[in-house]
Amino acid sequence: MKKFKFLVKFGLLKRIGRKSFLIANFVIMILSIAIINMPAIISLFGDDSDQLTDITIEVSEEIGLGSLADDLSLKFNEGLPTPFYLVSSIDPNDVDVEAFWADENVDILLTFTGSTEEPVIEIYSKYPEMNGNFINQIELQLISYQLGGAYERPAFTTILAPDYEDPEAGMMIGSISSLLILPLFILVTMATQFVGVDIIEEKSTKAIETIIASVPANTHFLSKIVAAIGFVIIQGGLILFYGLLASLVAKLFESAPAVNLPQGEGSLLQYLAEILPNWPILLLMTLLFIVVGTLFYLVVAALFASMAVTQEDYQQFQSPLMLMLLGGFYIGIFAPMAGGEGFLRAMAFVPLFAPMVAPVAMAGGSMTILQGVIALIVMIAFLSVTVYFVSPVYKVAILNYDQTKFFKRIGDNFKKAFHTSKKK
Amino acid sequence: MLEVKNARMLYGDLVAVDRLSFTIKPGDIFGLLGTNGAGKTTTFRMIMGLLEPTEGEVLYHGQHVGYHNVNEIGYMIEERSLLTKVTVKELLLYFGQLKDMEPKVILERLDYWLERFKISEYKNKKIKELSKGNQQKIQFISAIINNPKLLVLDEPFSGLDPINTELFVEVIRDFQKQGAMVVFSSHQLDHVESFCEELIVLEKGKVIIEGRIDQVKKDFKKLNVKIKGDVDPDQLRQIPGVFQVIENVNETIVKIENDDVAKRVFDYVKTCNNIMKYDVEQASLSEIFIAKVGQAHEKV
Repeated sequence: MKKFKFLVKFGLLKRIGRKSFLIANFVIMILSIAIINMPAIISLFGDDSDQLTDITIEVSEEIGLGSLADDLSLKFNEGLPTPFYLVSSIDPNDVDVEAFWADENVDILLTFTGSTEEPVIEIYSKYPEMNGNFINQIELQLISYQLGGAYERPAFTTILAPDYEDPEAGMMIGSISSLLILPLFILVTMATQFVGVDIIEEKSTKAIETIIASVPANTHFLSKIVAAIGFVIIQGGLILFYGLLASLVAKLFESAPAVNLPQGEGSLLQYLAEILPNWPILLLMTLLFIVVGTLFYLVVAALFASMAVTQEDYQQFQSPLMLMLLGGFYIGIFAPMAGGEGFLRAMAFVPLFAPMVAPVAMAGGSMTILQGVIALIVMIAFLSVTVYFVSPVYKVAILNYDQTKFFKRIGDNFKKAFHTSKKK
Repeated sequence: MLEVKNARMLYGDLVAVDRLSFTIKPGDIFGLLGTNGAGKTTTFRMIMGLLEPTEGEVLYHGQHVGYHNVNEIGYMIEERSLLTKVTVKELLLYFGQLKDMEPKVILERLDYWLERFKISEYKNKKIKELSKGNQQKIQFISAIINNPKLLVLDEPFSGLDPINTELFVEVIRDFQKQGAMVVFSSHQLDHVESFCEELIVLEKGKVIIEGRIDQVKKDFKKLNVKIKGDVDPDQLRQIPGVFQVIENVNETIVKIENDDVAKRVFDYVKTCNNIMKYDVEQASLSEIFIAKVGQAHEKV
């Protein structure tokens, strides 16, 4: 146990104690901030014609407050250097909802009916993400009219265009695939490289013989896997931290009125919660798939590295593994876009692709949580079988310097491991 | 005590080591010789517990060698087996802790050995920056850093100059004095001859010579007569029992079958002029090795 702990510590420090780790993480941090804030950064330098320069609002009121439009204009533009909301009053008889939706010059239509004490407000909006902000501002204005009387919360109704599709929700579901898969793909690739390169470095320099003379091959094998998982957790935590940092930077851009970001109703997490009501289970399942999937790929990478003799040799050996990873990555990214729900669901049950495909399939609704649990059980069973077979082969292969062809070498190592086990 | 009992190792149909037996007691230095592919490294791997013999067993103080007693053993493999991207200090801390040593003790011993091998200035240098000879020293230090009671050395002198070889020999002798068992292989037979008491010569996995070196030489019977003076090589060749005469610049070496022939050669030498040297020596280990391995090849 002491040697195992030492090997894990040595493996981890060797990786995260290097200058290359610090440099790589600095670059990842800068890129994370840049990518997440890309639209805002582009808007700073880009053409202003695509940006909102003002919002035109028409107010129809039947509750006898002649100055409502002017008062709302003052309220909405409060604190802004130049008026952004152009509020005008229209005659209730001129209200034509069909014409409003077709009119490109008017962005929002507010209708007030009832009385000051019991107002009924309808908000017709081409920018529904701003509704929350309007509701707050209107409510404050109405309270000021009601001062002295008993306050009754106005009844708000927001009406969207008949053909309206929430672009944020669509985009959000689409980006969940990338959000889930990309870090997972990067982390698994890094961890796989970490294990493979570490083992092949020890084997190609023959240091492995001195090491295996001191610690059992299985301890060495497990220590490499645990160190790599530790590395994934540390690196994953850092990536999460960079994401939060990038979100903080995004908040700075959000305060500019010219940038069209969701406002008022709550945080991004609340918005995500609206789109994915079962997000806590989804998050847990994703984490489980990440852990089990990473373990599976690490075990296979360790096996391939143990069979390789030189660095070049390992590059050849790891190609199938990288192709599997890449396959899962592309399925997860493109299958939801192409509407291949059935295909996505089927691939989520294939252990080689499940770690990357299943979380996306669940997030996109192609797969139920129960199906996800079944896919996870299949994955765990497959991992257990893999470890059962790989462990004795690793023991044989790690000290074997045979340089025959790829498949022959794999076959020979499995045969030797089988004979050794049989003999015992 | 290390006991190799009737050890046999098969790789498929290939017999890598065939029924090998020997015993090493504390304070013994034991040589394992053989041509390339004779089975030396396989034997070392069996001793280290890295390979399990197909038949027979290897016992260290009555127990199988395993991870419970491996901390008492020092192992140096034939090829350089060092992590090249780390410093000398980092590497020794790594290998030492794999032997359950405390970092403080490792560093103390490291300083001592670096000083003794005259390479203290390389402590914080990366292994890849060292010369081959210095890398060999570091590898040797990694094998002895745990003060082993059994030292297994596969070709410890390869690539070393005579001065550094002598340094290694001194250290090995020190371990012998402390009661450690040393088993080593080497192609430099003069070293084997100079400080090894007992040996085994393997050829294609089979033992072709074994025993104490003096006895091996005695059993070999053939002798060398070294003569300095005015002798006629042709007349020497005509003496019965002389099978080879080598004419060197300063001396003539006459290879003879046994002691009786030496007398006949001496009778001839007495008739010659200017004789400054007449010396009868046992055959060198190198000669015995070549002769025996040659015979083994002929049998095959």
